[in-house]
Amino acid sequence: MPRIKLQSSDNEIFDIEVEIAKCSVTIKTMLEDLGMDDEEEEAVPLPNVNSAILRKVLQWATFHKDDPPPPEDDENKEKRTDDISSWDADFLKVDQGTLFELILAANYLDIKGLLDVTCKTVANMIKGKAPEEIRKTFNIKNDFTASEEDQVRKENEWCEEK
Amino acid sequence: MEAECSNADDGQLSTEDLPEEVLELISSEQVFRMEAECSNSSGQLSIGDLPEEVLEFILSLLPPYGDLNNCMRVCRKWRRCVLNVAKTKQRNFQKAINDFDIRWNLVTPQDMSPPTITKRYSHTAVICDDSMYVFGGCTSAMTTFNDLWKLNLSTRTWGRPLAMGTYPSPKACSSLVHYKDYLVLFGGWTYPPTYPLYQGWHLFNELHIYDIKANRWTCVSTIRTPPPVAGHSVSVVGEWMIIFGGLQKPSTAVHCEKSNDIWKLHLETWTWYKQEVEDGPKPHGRFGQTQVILDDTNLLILGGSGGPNSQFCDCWILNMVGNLWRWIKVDIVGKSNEPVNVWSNPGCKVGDKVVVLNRIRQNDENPIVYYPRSQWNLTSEDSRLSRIDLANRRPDVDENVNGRRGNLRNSKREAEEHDESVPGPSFVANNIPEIRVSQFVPQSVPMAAFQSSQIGMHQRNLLRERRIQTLQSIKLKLKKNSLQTSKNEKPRRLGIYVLDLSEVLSKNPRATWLPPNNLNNGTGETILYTLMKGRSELIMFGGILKDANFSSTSNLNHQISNSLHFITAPNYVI
Repeated sequence: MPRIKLQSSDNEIFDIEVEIAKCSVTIKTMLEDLGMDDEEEEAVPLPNVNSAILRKVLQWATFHKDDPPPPEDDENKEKRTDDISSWDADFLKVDQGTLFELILAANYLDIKGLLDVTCKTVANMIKGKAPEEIRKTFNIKNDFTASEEDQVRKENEWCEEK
Repeated sequence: MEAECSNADDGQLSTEDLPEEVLELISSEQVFRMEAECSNSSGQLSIGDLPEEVLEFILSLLPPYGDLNNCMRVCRKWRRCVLNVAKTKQRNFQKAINDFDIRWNLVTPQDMSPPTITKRYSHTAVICDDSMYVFGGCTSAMTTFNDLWKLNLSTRTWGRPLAMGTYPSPKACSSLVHYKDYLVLFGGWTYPPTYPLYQGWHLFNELHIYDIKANRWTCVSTIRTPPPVAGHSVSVVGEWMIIFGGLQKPSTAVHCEKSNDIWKLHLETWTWYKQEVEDGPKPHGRFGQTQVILDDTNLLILGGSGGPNSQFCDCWILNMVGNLWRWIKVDIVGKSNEPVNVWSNPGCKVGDKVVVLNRIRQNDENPIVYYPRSQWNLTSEDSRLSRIDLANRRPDVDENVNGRRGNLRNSKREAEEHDESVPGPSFVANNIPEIRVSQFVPQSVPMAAFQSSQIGMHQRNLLRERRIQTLQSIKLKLKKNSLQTSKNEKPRRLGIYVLDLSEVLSKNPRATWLPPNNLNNGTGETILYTLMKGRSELIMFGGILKDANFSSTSNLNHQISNSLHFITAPNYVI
């Protein structure tokens, strides 16, 4: 099994199977575009991902490497936020900071499955909460002025064209 | 004061660096916030660090109802993102309808937590904020319901508000609309009582309002009232509820009549008025039609049924200006693309389009199975001609091929001939893919034109080719037949049919059926369901599954549905 080296932002080197690395579309295209050899000695630099997060991402990728490719009519299914597998749910029992770093890493590395499941986890944290509860959950500052808040409450409707 | 503000804003200095008097001025809350910012910058990422497109993706995963409304009130950034998500979702949905690129998401009662709504058809539904209310309808046991159900569109769960007050009678084909904090229920029918025998259907003209907040039904008595009616269409325009048509039973009449009357109810004073219209052409009496609001002064009526074997697919504008309202007939373009049945399949307006679900017409489907809508072309001189034209309406067949040109035959007999005739040009044309026809036809033309012995060899070759093609076509047909029998358990599927209304209010009002291009991903053919427009989705509920394999009515219970189908655009992509 050919292997590849990935280098995190804090210069840690990860030596992993190419197949696992290729679940990241970013790395995959990088390898293809640069014509990098599978036996490349040099490490692929990933300046946007630190070692702790990269370790998590690779752990996720290793577990999911044998997943069947998404079926053709994948898009046919409604995106549900309650279909997170128990392994993923356990895997994502992390603090908010780590969760958001995983989202950023998944976005940067273009790993659709990981991005989906992490964003679903955040969506589930938002679901069913009042605005004040959402602010509390995510430590968001309310930057509406009092009059704006009144206005937003009034226009608080789906701007649907009739 | 100014210095303090700038210090607090840029947050570079720690609180210890500030002079004491300034420190005292800063409220404890501000200090807390600065500390929070410091801790954030020291490593912990927060949701605010996500790029807006990622936040929008997260928000797009939420149901577009109450949850998104709440998100909008969190902060300015979130509000901006929610509005973007809403806009994108609406645009995607409109595009999906225009392109026939829709997704069907089935939610069966097994997928939902109890309570579960009972199977039903010919019920009525209305969407109000986060909820879809469903009232009444027919049971599988020849009776009707008078229950009210509420579907929470965010959580996709059913609830049954146990209302107080005066309940409506059990009935089907009534109308339910939403006005302020009320639902307004009018009309409907129910099966006759079992005794005395041989009574007609019972029609209603009772008017009920359901107060959503108080959870209470109230029966409204009015001095003047329309005759009992069912299967009428309804819209709320301003303070008025406007009903058109339906199956009526005037007090003097014994039998039901198809009406083309217009009645309006003032929703503040609960007074009924009969609306008169200008003389001139007006739609035939009908029931089960689709009625949509074009603007504050115009309604549009589409299709409906005028009784057995009389289905309409015509389109009218009701101009509601002045004392006398006016009917304007709309020209329909693209009749070959129109759906088969616009009376037991309700339509729904999405932007400037009306969407009707109908079973997808197969290319090889014999057009004769559709009963010609003889009524929609009553004005044509020769009804026989129009019938055959309708029945044979098939854009992909060269008229020259099956000898139809100038030779009008009884459409039924023609069908039989097609099935039993010796394999010939018409047979070939009917059963093989189109490309083959186009290859074949030009060759047959010179044969007829140059009847000479010179081309004997060529002709023989042609004949042989023709025979081979015929044999191949038979083989194809047999294959298809065997496939069909094995696939027989699969009911025919529903797809969308789209009527473009963008030119309907122009000088020459016309509406265009877009060429259908459905993926075969819909549910089985169903009728008498409700179709409502939610937020960037269409919601189909209940109805009767039309499946040819269910031979007798004893199976009716299996055919009646209590499933929900959500018709949406393809998923949001980041």
